[in-house]
Amino acid sequence: MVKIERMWTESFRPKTLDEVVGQKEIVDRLKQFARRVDFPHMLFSGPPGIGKTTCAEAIVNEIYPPVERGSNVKRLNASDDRGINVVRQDIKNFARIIPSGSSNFKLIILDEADQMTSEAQHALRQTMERYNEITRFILICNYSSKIITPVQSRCAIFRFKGLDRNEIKTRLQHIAKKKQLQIDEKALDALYESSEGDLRQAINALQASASLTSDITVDVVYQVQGYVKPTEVRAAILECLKEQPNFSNVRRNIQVLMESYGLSGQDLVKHLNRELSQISDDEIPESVRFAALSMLSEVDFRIATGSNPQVQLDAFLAKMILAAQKQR
Amino acid sequence: MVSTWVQKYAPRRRSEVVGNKESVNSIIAYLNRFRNVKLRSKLVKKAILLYGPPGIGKTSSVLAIAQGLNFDVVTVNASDKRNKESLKSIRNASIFSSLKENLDSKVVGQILLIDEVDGLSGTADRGGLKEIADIIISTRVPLILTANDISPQKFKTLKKYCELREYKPPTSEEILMILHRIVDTESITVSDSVLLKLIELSQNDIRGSINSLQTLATGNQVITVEDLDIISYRDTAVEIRGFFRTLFVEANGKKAYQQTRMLSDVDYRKLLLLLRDLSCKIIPKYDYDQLAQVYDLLARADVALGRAQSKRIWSQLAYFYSYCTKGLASVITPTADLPSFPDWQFQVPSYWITLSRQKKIQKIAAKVGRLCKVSAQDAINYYLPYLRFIFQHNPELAAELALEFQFFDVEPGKRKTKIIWNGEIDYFIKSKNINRTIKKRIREIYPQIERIKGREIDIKTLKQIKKQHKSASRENQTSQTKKQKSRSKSTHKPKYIKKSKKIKPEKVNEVEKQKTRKTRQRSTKDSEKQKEKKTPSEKTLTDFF
Repeated sequence: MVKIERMWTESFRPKTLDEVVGQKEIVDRLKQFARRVDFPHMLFSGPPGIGKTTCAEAIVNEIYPPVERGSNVKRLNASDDRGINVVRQDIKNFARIIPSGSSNFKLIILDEADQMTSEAQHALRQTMERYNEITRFILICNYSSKIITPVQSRCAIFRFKGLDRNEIKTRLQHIAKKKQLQIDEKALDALYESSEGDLRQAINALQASASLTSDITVDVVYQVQGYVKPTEVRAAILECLKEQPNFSNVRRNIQVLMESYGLSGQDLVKHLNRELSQISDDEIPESVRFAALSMLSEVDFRIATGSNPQVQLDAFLAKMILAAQKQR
Repeated sequence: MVSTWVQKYAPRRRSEVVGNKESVNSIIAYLNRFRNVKLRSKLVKKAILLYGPPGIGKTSSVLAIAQGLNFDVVTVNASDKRNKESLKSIRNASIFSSLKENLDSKVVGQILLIDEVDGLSGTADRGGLKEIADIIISTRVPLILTANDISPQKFKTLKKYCELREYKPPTSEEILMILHRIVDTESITVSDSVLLKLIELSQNDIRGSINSLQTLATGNQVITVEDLDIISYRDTAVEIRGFFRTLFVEANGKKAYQQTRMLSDVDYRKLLLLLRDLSCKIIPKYDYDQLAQVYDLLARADVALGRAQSKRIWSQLAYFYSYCTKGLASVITPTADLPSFPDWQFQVPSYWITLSRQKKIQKIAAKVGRLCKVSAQDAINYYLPYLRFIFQHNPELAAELALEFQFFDVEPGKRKTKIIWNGEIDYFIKSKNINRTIKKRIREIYPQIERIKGREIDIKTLKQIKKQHKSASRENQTSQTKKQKSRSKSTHKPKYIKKSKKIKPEKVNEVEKQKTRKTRQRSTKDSEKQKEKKTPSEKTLTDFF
């Protein structure tokens, strides 16, 4: 019999609400909802990797028998087309047909709902209201502020909190035990710290570490982290700051970064922002750091509003180089 | 003007076709051979592929010949969708030689013309070329293909199946004859030297020169040399090069701004992206002041363009051009000469290359995201880096994960499924050795998984069959009881039974009724079971009582 190893984030994803790590108050409330098999539209918001999608899936598992999950539940995330036309046609058509089987209502899970355009969100409004009887929504987002207020007011809002050190460590330990791994306390701490409270990344890092050895130490964790975080971003910034930087090289490096990691412009801006804040004072003069950050905020806004990421990043790099050179 | 001159003066007969005598004759010979069933079976190459630059009469000559020989032509061109599925229907039609219903008795046969084969899109028309090859093999109607450039590798197989015929641009004199005929009929006054210049500008492209002539002649019966300036040169490569020269060599912003009007063919965004690439090459490496100014201007131009295109504030377009021309010229130190690009016309902005590479990653990320319940973009951030690490260090696990995510294509074969690598594994692992071990391992495990999957399906179908059996036997039972009952009751209520046979819902209710009556008499346990099994019928039962 062949047993194929899967991503641990999936094979260890809690199946029921009882298994969900942390978020005690929220989970208790959700359990009541699941027991009554009735709940209002819900909005889950919070940082990534803390169990929002898992909770939604657990609810699905608890209220629908397996055969009905296919026909009564619709899941859409940012990869799916969720433009205004889809909301007006596909989602509406799904929402207005009565549920099959014994269920009282159907469920639409809109993951990463904050990535929907505000027009699409507005189009959602009426569907949520009119077919409330037979279709419930669970909207999942990182920032509830990106959901338009009319939609927010139709939902019970649950703010998921970041997981604390103990919760993450306990879960990692549980997985390590199941997978017969040796892992010491320090390594667990290192996993927690590098994950920044994101359990998904922590589990992925654990799996990556375990692919190397079954005896996981801090060094192994660091090796994974060193590999996983694109060091090229910091290298590019440092290149800009040194004497006589080569602009076309920096520009090409950033381009390669986007090509080889598939990073979007906004992801790259996020990385740049983090690295700029973390580089030590010895390496970057405070005035340059501030100038760069303020330019970055403009670049971020422009990319978010549809400008070309590479053209904008070129300008950012050229201006940062100039600022650094003037400082010298 | 109702039709374009290109259509109006298209050749109607073979004798009207200009140039390329040999190729034209070979088309006729081919058609004749195809009509003769005996000769057709001997045909090694069942299709004919005409290739050559655009606008020199490839399609027109086919149409003219067909008209002369009374053939009906069914054309599939670039405007039609030509992927595997849509071509398949054409293929089927071509086998039964019934592409189009024809009512005209004069028509002796049909020709399938697949125009602009090299215009098949890689993504939208996926599998198209192979399907065309299949059409050639199975077709029972004559098949003619046209293309501009058949040198790319992807046409290799197609070329094997086709008789190749090259079309060469006609001489200026030959085109001049065509233009003379048009000029006479339309009563336009124009000198031969102007016409020759026009032909030269269009690079001996018949269609191009007729179009230019029509443009110049609209509302204008006399055409002079000066008028030639109006027609935008089709050759944008020369034009865009001139524009860059004005900008970078002359640093003349005003002139460059005016030239942008001539650049209507060039996509705005492409222009911006080309400027971005070019600036980096031209501006001195260490002139940080100039670099910052130029790239700041380009970024502003980009913002203006974004407003114009996405928000439809078209007035912003003027500012876009100002930034790109007057703005740039004011900060650029003129350079001696432009860098030499191998081919200006096909110069691709580097950003497009980035995009196409990102698209590949997006596809991989979508596969991961689908199973891990995240979007492709989140998969790129939260999963791919770790996966890359695993692929780098643990081929065994990598192979299993690759199976889980299906980082390959499969093609069902006769005996076993074939695995086709699509480069997705190569994205994770550059090292050839590890790459090979991973692939080897996948080949080992895959058949086993397939077997399990097959068994799972079997179990499922078995269960279904069992269920069907059960329900069928239950129905049998009820129908039997019904028969018994009806027999016993038949003397009392013959009308009622007839009715129940006709109307279904009543019949069901009746059956239920009878069943419950019976079960009541026998035991309560059975009825409980029935109720559990058929809860929906509860309502109807109570209603009925």
